[in-house]
Amino acid sequence: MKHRPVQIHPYAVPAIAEYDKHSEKPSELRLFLDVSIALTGFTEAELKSTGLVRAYFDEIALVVGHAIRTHFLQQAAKDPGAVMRKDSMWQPLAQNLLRLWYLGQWKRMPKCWARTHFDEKTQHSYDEFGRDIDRVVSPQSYQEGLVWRAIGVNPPGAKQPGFGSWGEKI
Amino acid sequence: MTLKKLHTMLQMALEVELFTIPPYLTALYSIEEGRNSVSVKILQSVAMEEMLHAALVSNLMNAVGAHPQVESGGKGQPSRRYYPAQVPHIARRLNIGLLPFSKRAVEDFMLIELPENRTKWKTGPGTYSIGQLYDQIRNLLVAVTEQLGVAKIFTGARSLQLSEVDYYGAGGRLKVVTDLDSALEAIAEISQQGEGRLHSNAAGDEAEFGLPKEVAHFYRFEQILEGRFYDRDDDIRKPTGPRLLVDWKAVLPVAVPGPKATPTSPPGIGATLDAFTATYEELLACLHQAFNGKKAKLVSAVPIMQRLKVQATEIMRIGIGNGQTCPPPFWFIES
Amino acid sequence: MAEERCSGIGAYDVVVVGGGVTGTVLAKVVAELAWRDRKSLSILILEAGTGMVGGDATHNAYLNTYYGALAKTPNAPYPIADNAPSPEDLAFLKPPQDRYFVQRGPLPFGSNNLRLLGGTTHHWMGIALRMLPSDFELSGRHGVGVDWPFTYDDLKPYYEKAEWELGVSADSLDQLEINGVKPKDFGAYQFPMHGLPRSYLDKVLGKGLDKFTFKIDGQNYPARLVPIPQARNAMPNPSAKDPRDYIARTSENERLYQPFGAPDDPFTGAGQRCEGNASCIPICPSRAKYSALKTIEQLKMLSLRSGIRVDIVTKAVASDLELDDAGNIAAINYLAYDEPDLAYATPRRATGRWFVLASSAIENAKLLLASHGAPDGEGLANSSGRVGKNLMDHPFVLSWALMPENQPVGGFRGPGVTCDLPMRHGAFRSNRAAFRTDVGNWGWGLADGAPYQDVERIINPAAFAGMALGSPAKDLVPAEPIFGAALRQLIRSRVRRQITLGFLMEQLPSSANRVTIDDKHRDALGLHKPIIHYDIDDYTRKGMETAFDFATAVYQKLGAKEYTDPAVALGTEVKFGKRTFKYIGAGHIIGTHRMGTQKTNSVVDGDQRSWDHRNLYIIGCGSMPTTGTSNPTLTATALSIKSAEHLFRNLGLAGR
Repeated sequence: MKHRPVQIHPYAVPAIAEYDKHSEKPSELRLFLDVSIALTGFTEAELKSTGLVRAYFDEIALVVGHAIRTHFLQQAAKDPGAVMRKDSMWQPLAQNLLRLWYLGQWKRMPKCWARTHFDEKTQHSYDEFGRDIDRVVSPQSYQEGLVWRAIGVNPPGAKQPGFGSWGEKI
Repeated sequence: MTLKKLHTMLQMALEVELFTIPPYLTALYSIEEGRNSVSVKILQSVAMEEMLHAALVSNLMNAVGAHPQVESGGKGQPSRRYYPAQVPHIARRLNIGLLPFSKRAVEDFMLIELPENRTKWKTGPGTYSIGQLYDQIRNLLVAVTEQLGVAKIFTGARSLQLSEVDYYGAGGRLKVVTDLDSALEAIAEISQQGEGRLHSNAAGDEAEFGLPKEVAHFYRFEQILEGRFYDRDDDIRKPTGPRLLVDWKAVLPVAVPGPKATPTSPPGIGATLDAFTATYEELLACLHQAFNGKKAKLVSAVPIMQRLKVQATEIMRIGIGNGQTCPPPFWFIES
Repeated sequence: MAEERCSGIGAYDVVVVGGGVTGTVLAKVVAELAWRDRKSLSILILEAGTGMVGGDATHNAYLNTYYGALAKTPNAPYPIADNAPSPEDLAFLKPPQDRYFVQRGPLPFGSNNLRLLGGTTHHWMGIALRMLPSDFELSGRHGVGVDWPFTYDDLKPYYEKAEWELGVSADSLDQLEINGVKPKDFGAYQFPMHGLPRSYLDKVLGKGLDKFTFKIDGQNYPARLVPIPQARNAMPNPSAKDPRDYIARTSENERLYQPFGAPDDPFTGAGQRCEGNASCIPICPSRAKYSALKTIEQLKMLSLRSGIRVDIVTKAVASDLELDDAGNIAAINYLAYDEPDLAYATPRRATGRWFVLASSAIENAKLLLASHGAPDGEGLANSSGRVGKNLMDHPFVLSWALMPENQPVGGFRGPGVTCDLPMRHGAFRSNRAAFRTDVGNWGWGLADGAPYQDVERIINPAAFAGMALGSPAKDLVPAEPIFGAALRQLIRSRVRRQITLGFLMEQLPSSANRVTIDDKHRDALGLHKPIIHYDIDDYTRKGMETAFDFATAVYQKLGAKEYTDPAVALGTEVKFGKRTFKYIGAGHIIGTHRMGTQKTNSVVDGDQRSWDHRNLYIIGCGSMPTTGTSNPTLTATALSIKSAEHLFRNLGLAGR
């Protein structure tokens, strides 16, 4: 079966104000940002400059469901290091968060991950839309992959750096 | 009516050309990736042509022994000024800011590129429009040449002249200036593209009349505003050609007016803005060198421009409050 | 120019099968000659795939497909029609379930082409290198392979024209450095555009390899980074003179060479210069890289002139050739489909006076074999029995290493390759295959899936726990996942030090390596699937061993740490003695209808004209008797121009 990457329009974001509002309880989007900052090693400005904060925040829920996402973000915000450890049940999801940011990709979660760790009710909304497969999230997510910024280049095939740029000292 | 006055006026023209580029680029880069492709093409072509104009003015200046100034802040150099601001050296009130692509922005661009209007020139003091500025330069050039002779005016070294071999994409319009005729041709090249008349008898088999290269800037912008292309037989008043579709919403919500002070949040924005500033400085330094003898530098401006584009786009995605995002911290020079 | 669905519209002067570089360049040269000599001409080009002439929308669609593709393989951006399937990108993963080839082995043939208007030049790298003089005389000089029916000197004027036709950027002076090429080989000739700037990586490696030599069979060979000629737009050379005498001279084309960019706006739009997109394979976003869509655009402009008619029909799959009573080709039967994935087609017939098969080596052979000819049923143009035989590739093998910490080279920038590190010529060729070397500018992208694999290793080390103890990459796998600033820093420091040397191995002709057909294996439209028999002999395997030893010596000289590992390398395993290598195809399909001096041992003569049917040309890389070590497209283009000039002399066109 040919699968085509699901197109996510990166700017279909509600007002940026959503994550600029200061409130007593940090909103879940704020948690997502804090976790992303901690795990990626990029600043908030850098993450926002991809224009994909909201898109990735939504993507996680589209795959694992809102309940699991909430649970994950609360745990990860408390201790980002803990969710990356190999004995943590959250590790596969934390790794996918990193893949979203660094590569613009999602990798299928381990088989039975949801079934093993969550109750019947929570599992119900897991992978409702068949997005839990190896894929590039969108043409934009490929281009904004942080891995390219980490190594100091533009994503191949996009944001052309200009004639002669490859001869310049790095 | 002296050579010095000519040099001064040419530097003014250069500053005006360079002034227009950041507003065009801000509008251009604020359009969401892949959207509004016709408007993108139009804005790109206009920005490219403004840079061509700057290079032509540089050629004019070098031909008559003037030294183009592009960098700012140092002794004897123009000052660095920030947007929104009055267009430098133009008497008519025209305040231009760094706006995202919008009807307001396009209207402003049309005001910048206002076509000739001779009646206003006669009555108003000073230089009313860019077109008038070039008109005055043309007259002054002819006058001093008649007065002092070609040899006394066109003293600049030929090696300073930028031409086709030094750049690409200009469609062979980067002309060298060596004497009065070529100087007048260069000025005509600039005014024709900018404020010139509608080319109602455009040669060639252009199927896409009304797209870049056929119509002066003012009319290209008017097409965006009106949502229609000019047809070959249209007169200047109204375009009646095919529809030009614009999605005014497919634009980043850049803050208007820009922030009073440099934004300090979100964390990390300082470094992002500094990187942009460094790139823009590098670009201006590169142009300065290219305009003052180091011609090979012109091509190396391209990678810097591409980097600037990426950085500007990234900045315009960063929210700074109230659902708005950060404008790129361009500046312009004014002596 | 009409993209017509014509059924027997009246005989064309020339019917061309295949809308790729060789067929379209031939058509263009014939059309230029007709215009120059005031003749009228009608040409029909049949293209099996879909595709549009020019068009930004199509190009953007390909780009978006590319961005969204998980595996960015050569054909990934392009639509593959079920009715004209292109062979698999990752052939080594597929046998025997390949969607098109039936791979009989013993080894899978690793290269593919693209059946789309414009052909394989959509996804090619763009390297436009000439063969060496010795490549034409392999048998005479080294006692292996065969000789060509003419020498390098005979082909040289066509190489020059081909370089101007494709738009090649190089400096003649640099090319003199290559082993085996003398100053007289270039004379006053200059390429239309100056060589592309070398990459920073080339500069670092060049310094590190100063005075480097390598011993083969007791002889020391110097090895030096040499800039590689590319069909990619760069700065025009103002003092270069256009050698294409088939173009009518006007003052218009006497001035400075104008690079031909994106077809919809060739001289003032995008593509005037390479913009360093670093995605040449599979797609050039700027359109600075040559693709046959440019030649097609030029054909379109030519066909606006009076007396010149060029029709291009896409979605038209040639099924067989028809003979007349005199034994000449009378017509090409083809199947015209509308929907690429709906197996429904209308049989049509294209008649003409002269016919040109330009559908790439395997397709050409298949078409001839599938046509009913001599009573023995061996297809057409096959009295020599050689049609389909001598299939060759450049088996491509990869090595990779990390530069020292203080010497990052910054990959993933610029064209895939800007310099060669060749070992193309020498006495050793009597014993073992020569090779050309891609000094890769894209890190370990091809060799090791960089940078994706690098991220995976660092954030998910547990997945790499099963690695063999001796695996060199083991020291790249951390004990615990790394994240945050440490992740960012490690990725940066690692990926920027990645270097790759890829070797294009010469392969000798062998009649055992061949394309055949079998009525049991048919595609969606009922046409034959190519059946491939392929192997790599010891001559080439020995050359591979030398290549890997060469790589190790280079890395040692550079102080780089080698990570070459056949266990994880891309491709199919091939052994030599105690050594194991992995190879993939270089994308070069060569040899299936070779040229020669006799009709008994070759399919076509030195002008690519069939010995058996005097109004049939069979052109492309399939005509090449040996592979040499250069990417074959430039040679095939030169041969096309040679054939076009020959064809024009035979055409007997009426005046306008």
